[in-house]
Amino acid sequence: MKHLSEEHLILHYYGETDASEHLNACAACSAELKRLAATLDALHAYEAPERGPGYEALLWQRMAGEIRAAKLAWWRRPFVLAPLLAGLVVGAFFAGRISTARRAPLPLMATSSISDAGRQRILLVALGDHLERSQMVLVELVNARPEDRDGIHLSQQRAQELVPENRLYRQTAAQVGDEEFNALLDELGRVLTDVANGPSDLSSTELEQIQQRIESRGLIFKVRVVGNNLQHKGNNEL
Amino acid sequence: MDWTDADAVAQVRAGNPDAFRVLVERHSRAIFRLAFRMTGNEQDAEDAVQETFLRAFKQLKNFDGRSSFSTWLYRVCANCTIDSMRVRKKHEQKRVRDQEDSETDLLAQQASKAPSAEQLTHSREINSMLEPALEQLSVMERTAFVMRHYEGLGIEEIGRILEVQPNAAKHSVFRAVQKLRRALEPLMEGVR
Repeated sequence: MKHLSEEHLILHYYGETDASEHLNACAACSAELKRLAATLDALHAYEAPERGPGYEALLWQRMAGEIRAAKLAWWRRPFVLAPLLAGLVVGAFFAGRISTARRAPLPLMATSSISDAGRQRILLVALGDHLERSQMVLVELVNARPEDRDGIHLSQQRAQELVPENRLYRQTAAQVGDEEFNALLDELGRVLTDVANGPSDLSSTELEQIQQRIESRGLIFKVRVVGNNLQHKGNNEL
Repeated sequence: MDWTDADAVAQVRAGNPDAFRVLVERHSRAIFRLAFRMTGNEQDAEDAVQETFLRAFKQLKNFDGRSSFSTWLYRVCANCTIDSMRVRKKHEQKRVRDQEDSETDLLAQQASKAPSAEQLTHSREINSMLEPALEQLSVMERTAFVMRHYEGLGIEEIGRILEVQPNAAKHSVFRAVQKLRRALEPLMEGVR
């Protein structure tokens, strides 16, 4: 009689499959299931500490201010994240960063429907958000170990999402001659693209190369500083 | 207020941020339990709970209602907690690597720390025995295991929450159980 695999027993324990017929007829598998169940049952004793009475109210008190303050940004974000409008607004933002003499003509939609101050606020939040998410991916990769394949794969998926967004911001910065942002976004984009396009099973050497690249140029630090400045500025203007 | 989750979500979307309180009050304990079992640390879990709700509020526009609000919130919590665990693991790994000149056998360490049968009656001692075993799991393995074992979520749902194929979720659970068995079975022999 062919015995059940450990995987099969695990699925049976969790009710994902039903192997009762085999288990009733096979003493060896039945004994193995008992050993497995004893370990897994013991793990049910791993308890989360109970929160005291009033925990929910206290939690809400701690967060209410931030949530109410975030409301305005929250309502504006759907517009920010729509690629077309973001592109238009990005243009306006970067144009605003350079001198008035060099200011590029503002796109029609941006000039007609959103005030200058509104555009500026939206972009501060959107760019800050982009840099924050990029920073998170970089931190994950620097922390990753080669055997954590699932984690690396998740970082790659996130990098894939960030690449087109980053390209949009970088192209606009380049068009309007914002060299500071262009350089940062260019450097960030190269790393994100390499990560996103890398094989799903990065070798330890490939991972190490990416980590060295991120760390040797202080990319996380640069992204964090610029991102924090933007978000701080955005919050002050909201 | 007898609002359902959907009512509260609609209220928030209609511009009433205070309606979010209903969701915080209804789900915060469950989210704390999930975060604690993922992190094994009370303070980290508390931070993850707050971060989860703040992120959920900011991303509420992305909730399309195809899954229940609690499933979506689990996903947000898992992502928040995974992010913070990765940052924490980096610091720990650096510390461990510095001390790795004399490689130690974790199993032997655990065996020497095995508590007596009497101690096992106290949940704190049980936690302190189980936590080192759980710490051996990768972030993905621990998350998938916690969701399957403690939250009773099915493999398909875990895959959806973690945004991986069901097969990847299933194998994360398998690897977690295998590692836990290797770590815990010798200890359990000692207390039987």
